[in-house]
Amino acid sequence: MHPLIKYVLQRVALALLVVWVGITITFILSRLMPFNAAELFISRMLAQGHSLTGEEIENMKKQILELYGLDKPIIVQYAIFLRNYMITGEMGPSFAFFPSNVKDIIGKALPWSITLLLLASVISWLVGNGLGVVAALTKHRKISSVLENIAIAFQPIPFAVLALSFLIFYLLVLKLPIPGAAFVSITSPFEMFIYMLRRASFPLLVLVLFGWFGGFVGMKAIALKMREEDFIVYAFLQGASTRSIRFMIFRNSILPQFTTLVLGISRVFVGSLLVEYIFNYPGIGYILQSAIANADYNLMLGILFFATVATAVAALILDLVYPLIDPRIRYPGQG
Amino acid sequence: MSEIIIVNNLDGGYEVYVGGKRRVFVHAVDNVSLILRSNEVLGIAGESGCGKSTLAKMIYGAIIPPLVVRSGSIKLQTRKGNFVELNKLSIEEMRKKIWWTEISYIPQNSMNILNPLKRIKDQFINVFKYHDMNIDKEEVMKYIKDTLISLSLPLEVINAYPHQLSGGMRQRVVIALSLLFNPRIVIADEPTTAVDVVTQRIILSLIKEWREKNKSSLILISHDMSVHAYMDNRVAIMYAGNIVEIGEIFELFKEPLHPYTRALIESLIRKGDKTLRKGLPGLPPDLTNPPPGCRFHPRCPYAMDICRREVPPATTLGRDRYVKCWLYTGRG
Repeated sequence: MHPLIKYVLQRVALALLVVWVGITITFILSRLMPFNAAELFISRMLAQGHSLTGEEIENMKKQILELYGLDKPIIVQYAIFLRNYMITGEMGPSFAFFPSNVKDIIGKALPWSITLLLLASVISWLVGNGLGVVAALTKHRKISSVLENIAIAFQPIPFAVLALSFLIFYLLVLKLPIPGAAFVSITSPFEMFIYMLRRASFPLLVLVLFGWFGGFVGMKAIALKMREEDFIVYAFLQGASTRSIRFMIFRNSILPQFTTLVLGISRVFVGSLLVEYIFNYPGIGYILQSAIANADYNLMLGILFFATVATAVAALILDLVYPLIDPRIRYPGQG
Repeated sequence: MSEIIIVNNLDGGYEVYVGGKRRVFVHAVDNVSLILRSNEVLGIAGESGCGKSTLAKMIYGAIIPPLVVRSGSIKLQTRKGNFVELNKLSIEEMRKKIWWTEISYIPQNSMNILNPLKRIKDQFINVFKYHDMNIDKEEVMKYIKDTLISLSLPLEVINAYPHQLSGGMRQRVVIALSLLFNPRIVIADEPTTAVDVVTQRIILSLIKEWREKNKSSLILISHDMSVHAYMDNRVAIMYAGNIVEIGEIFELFKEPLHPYTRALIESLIRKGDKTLRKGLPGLPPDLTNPPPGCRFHPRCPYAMDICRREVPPATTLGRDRYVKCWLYTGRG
């Protein structure tokens, strides 16, 4: 077999193994929660003032557990779970939104998260790294040091604090309206997408506004060091134009930053609870939060399954793509 | 033999700002005058930190802060025969008119002197592009192949990336790049420092052959006196930013005049000589605060009173020979 094919197969097998380990750990963790869906359901009924006898409670609990498939021994539950995911592709019903299917719930929320977070991570990566390289090479030292100080000052502040402060500043100090979208009747997928973009625009703004710091600081440091590298100095002495030298610095500095981009993109499948909660945005993070609060094992597993797969795929892509963008990294058997 | 570079009273160094305002000046090149003739090899010798690389950078015209030239001039005779003052040209003019076509530069061998993301052939093509030369791709490839053969490098090198080559191969590629446009002047700054003696000889022979064929001039910077003995026509000895002695290589080895030159040559290993080599006691002076008078006096075994007070003038002793030492002025 060609060593390259062997390598790719090995990497794919490894990715599958990672996914299996990941979902198994998720399964175990979900079952370790100190409460389950049936108990939550009953305690809620009691809280609403329904009077139930002990016997009724026990019966109801048994029924619910049976309905959710939680009455079987844990090892059987695990076997069913694996069979469903690996073979039939079924993810079972959600407990909290019973009897909706987990797949349908995720399918509805995922496009929202992907639209927002994919745009946010790509744009903030581009903005951060672009600004970083410009700041490292510009003659206007003052501007670049102002940018750097802003980035360093804001980077350690948690996003929740920044986002809330920004909201307060935007609404109460600047008194500007939040660009939203009224839900009009939507007929085509294209209209749906436009509607989604309009809903996403404000959280996107905030995400990009506070999301470029990391890329900026990293890129500036790398590019500053790259500028002193022997081959850059040699190219300068060879008579390379400023433009060629800048491009060379950019091209060489971007390599380590590529990892953050791909891993950032893989994170869009987990959604962002914080952003979606603060901006009331119907994404995956929002659903994950309610799944955890309601001990909705199936929904939880479904979401984390996607997240695990996305991360494993991102790592696989990185491994396969790096030799294409950096000749110093080679596939096995490539000499 | 006409003069193609005339360096006159060149004075400069590194201006470093420490904590905003306070300025430290590293006086790396102190009142240096030099002449480079066509079709000759001029060596510049001296220990680390004596300013020989700084002098090379100044002559090449890569004067970017913190490096500054305070006074003096560097004149270059162009192919047309007129003189241009290099230190009056902007970097942009140097880049377009002088670098690589008139004066070329061979840097110190280092692991990453070549862009790690570009194949060797692209490194050559890039140099053509930098100088706005539109040449046929086939022609370029043929030219690169010929060059590689003349450097006794395997042809596969053309498609290799720099990291796939050994240090010696890489340095040969760098030399080929530097000699690409057959420049009239080549400045080689320690071209063989990081390679073993066998590779060193191969590389030096390559440069030597090329130079003799093209009748170009070479400024060779090295701390290694044996390299100078092998390559040079004339050699200038540098100490702490001064050129203390210049002479024809054979004469200088036969009869070193300056006490520093003497110490340098005595430190060489000679065939059959079994006596222990003596080192020169002391350290080279701090160039931010050089000693008054002759900069060598703290280490000089013949130091006199006048050496501590006054800078020695250049004493000319025959054609092409001068020494800056009070011992030879007749005043001592």
